[in-house]
Amino acid sequence: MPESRGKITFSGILKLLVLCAGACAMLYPFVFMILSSFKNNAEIIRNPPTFIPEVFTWDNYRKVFEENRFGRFFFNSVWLTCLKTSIILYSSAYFGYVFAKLRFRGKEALFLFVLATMMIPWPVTIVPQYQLMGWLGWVGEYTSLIIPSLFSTFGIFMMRQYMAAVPDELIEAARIDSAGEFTIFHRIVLPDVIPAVSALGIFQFLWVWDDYLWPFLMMQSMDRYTLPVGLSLFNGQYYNDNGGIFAAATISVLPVILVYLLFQRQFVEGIALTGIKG
Amino acid sequence: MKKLFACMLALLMVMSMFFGASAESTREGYVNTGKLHYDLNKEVNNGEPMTLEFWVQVELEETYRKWCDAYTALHPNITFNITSGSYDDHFMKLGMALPNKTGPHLFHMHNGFTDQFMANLKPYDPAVFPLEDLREDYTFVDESLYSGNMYYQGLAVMSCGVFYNKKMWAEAGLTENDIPKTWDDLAAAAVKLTQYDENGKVKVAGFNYNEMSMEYLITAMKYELGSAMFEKDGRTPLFNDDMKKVIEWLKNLYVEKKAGSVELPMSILSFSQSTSAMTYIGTWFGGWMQANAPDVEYGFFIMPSPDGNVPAAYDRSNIEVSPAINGNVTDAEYAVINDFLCYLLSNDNFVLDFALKQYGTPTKKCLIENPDVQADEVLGTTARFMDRLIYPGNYPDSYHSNLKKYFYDEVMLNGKDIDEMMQACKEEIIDSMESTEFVSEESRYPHADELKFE
Amino acid sequence: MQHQLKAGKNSRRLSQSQRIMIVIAVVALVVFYAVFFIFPIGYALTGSFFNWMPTKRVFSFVGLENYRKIFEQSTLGLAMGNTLVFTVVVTLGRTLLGLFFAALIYSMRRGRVLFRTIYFIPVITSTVAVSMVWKWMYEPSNGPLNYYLSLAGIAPQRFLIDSSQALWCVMAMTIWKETGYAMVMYMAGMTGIPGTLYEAAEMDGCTRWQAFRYITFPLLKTTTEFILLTSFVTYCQTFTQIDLMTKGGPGKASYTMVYYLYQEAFGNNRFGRASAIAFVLFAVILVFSVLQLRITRTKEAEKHA
Repeated sequence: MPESRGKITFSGILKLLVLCAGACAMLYPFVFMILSSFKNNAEIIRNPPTFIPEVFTWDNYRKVFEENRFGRFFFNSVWLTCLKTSIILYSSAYFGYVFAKLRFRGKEALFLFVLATMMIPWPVTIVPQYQLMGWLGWVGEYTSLIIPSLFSTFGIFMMRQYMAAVPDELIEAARIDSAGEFTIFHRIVLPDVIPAVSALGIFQFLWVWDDYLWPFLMMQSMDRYTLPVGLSLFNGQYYNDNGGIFAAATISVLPVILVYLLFQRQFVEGIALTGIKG
Repeated sequence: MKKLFACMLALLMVMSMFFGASAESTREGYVNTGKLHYDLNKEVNNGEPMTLEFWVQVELEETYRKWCDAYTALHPNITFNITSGSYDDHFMKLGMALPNKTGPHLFHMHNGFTDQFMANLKPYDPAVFPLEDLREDYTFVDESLYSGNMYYQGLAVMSCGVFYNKKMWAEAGLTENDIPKTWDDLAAAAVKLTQYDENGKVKVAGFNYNEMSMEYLITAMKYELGSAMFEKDGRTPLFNDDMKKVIEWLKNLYVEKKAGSVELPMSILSFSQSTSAMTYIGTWFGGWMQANAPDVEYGFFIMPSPDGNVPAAYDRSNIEVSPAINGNVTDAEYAVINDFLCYLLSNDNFVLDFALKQYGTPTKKCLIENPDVQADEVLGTTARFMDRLIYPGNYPDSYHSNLKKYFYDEVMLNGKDIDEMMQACKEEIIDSMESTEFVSEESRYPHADELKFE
Repeated sequence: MQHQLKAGKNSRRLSQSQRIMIVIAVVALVVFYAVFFIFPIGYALTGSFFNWMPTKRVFSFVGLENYRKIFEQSTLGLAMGNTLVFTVVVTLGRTLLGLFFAALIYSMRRGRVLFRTIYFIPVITSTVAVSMVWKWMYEPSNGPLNYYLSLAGIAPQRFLIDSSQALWCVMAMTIWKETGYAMVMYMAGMTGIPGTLYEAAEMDGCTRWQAFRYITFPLLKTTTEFILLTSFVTYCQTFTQIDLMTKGGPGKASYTMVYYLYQEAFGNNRFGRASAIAFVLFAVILVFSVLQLRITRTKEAEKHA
């Protein structure tokens, strides 16, 4: 129901105002965070607070980078996140397709079973999972981070939802042409759900990127720490360096925003694609 | 007197070492003036290479790295792989790793985790660490033992006290003579130091015990009134009228005297930001201030007694301890680890480094008179009161976290009734201690006869 | 298997490749979930009947003792209540706001991408980072929120240190962070609605509100269900922002179920009791899910009848 073309209406201006107010609310904490990361500690705690830094300083960033082996952590985070996200995307699409478009006995039960696992809070399973990793001899190995997250319940759930929207006629037509099911999945269905895959990709990327407790528990040597684990060293209970906290928070948030902005175009195009198919 | 004698002896030994001019004894900053023997020239692990995994709390990473490197310089076949984490994370990770037979060969320990980790530890080798030698060199030797075994040795004594902002102190017209001698003095000084904004709200608190101070202050003030932390059985928390009196006094300081406010940030943050003139906190705070707020000039005094007389105890003390050994190490690793730990414990310079980093008074007797320790206001003051500081043992963490939850959160923030909260808090502490084997050490305190246990 | 019967119109024998695909999927899922989920969950369930302290290597049978203990303590009721309030308020808040902003942005001719990008930024940032920032903004003495309130002539609030406000402050932060997600989902759904429907509606003289009410909203049903279900499961397990912003306090005023069980497990080293709490929570979630499923099924059945 897009606005009728051309005219500037009162309701149009009102809408714009509401949207702008909302946008300010959405952005304020980030602007506040980024600006604060350039203030010195004395200015951060001043009352009443300043908005724009009076004395602009890079010190907070210098400290955070110097006191941490950031390069190594960053590198570990990047390759682990990319690898894990790619695996999850493919596996989610695959299972999503099977659950949405193929019929077999016990499908509903299997799906419910998969869904139910989402409802167990993680703190209680962490000890048995650790024990399992110990038995498998994976403690301290990258396998302990990769293998347990080959599949994502949320991903399967989401992809099934999207796969259901792929028109049956499309698939049926290919089946009549006696194309193999794998060919149909790879050649016809996957391209059709690219928007969903990229949406899921963004979420998975973020979750994997932010994942902190499990990598911390598993990785036994600092060379294998990821970025969030490295950042957590600065998040001690008595840590008082507010400038450092703001700088650290900014550093952990910025790469993610960049990735999102890069993905944005594909995301938008994807949504337009679904629009045509709808 | 005994201490003085020991120190003179130590000094004599240092001098004899210097004049003996043995190059080995000072190699890489190693100085041993104690009885505990360590042979710098002995080969370890038959010269075979070995790498030891060593997990430390992030604050201690630098100190341990320095001495690990020094040890590697001495024994090039032994190297260390150090991994650090923040306090909470470090112990959570250990709690997972140790029972699963993984984890580091040795790690930074805290005595509050003794009960939890005991099943997964190996004691120090008594052949390398004869107790009589240790007793000669250190205080807190017997207090560090657990069922007769040595799993760690206390290296630094921590206590608490009042930190005050020297600049604000002077601005309020207070002098050195105004250092409080009684609780009333303290309250009066706090009132004098408080500043209000135009609406009458506290802008600068005279005294701040927000979020992480009140719980420890309650324990200290209760000791000063003569009441122990635990009852005779060593396990039931002693919650009596003295405790109620203390909580009421503290509440009164904020509510009636308006010398502080719960709306200010956490005690240590507010103090470092100069929005509080006094706060009560552990001696470690001295080191923290140097790292985080070097511009704020502070002074330190022990919490005064209620009436100016010497109380049963001024405060509680606790120890920061040496690294502990993973129970799953092989015999060869065990031998090397013991050699390394002996290198550390026999080395005055390590103990001094450690104590200054943790900001506690060193337990190594020869270091108490050390000029660095004496010159420091916090450590020097604590050392002078050592005789009246009581060590209650490695009681579980939940004791004070519950005190905080019930008396700071519920009473101060949520305005709940003190009697009810004392009842509820006691029940929760008893419940949380059910799973531990902790027994208080308070009865071993030299002045225990002056304490009430009921 | 009512579903299969209904779908029977195009049921036929599976092809070879379909069979392979299904076998791979079933085997992979069963093995994976058995190893990485069922085993740990079963272990934890067993543990809930034991005095279980992993670091002390204690694992001794105590029957229903753990469950008895938690039902005896008032914390369970408090945490359950908080969890329920949190889940309902945040789920509704982010869904309604998401729909509202989606409709608003979708009706704009220009700036759609810009606004969507902005509203989505909080979603993609880490909960840890934004919790830290918000905690600072809520600071009663020198945080910016009280400063802006004072400019508007409103008395300063105590926010996170006030037992009646703390949970709501965390909820506000969560809604702020998660609204963009619902919004993008709805916008994607709206793009899928063919424009011809609206043209027809316009010709029939529908107002824009009627078009929204009778065309847009019903067609977004799948999206709504998806958002509601995932929100429900996620917020029932709220932990991170509570841990970072209030530590469950003041007192226990903002305890949620997962924070409670985390405290029992890692604070008190009582994994048995923590597991018992987890399974009480699991039972509650299950009951709700079954109810929800029943309601949707009944509605669908009515529609088909």
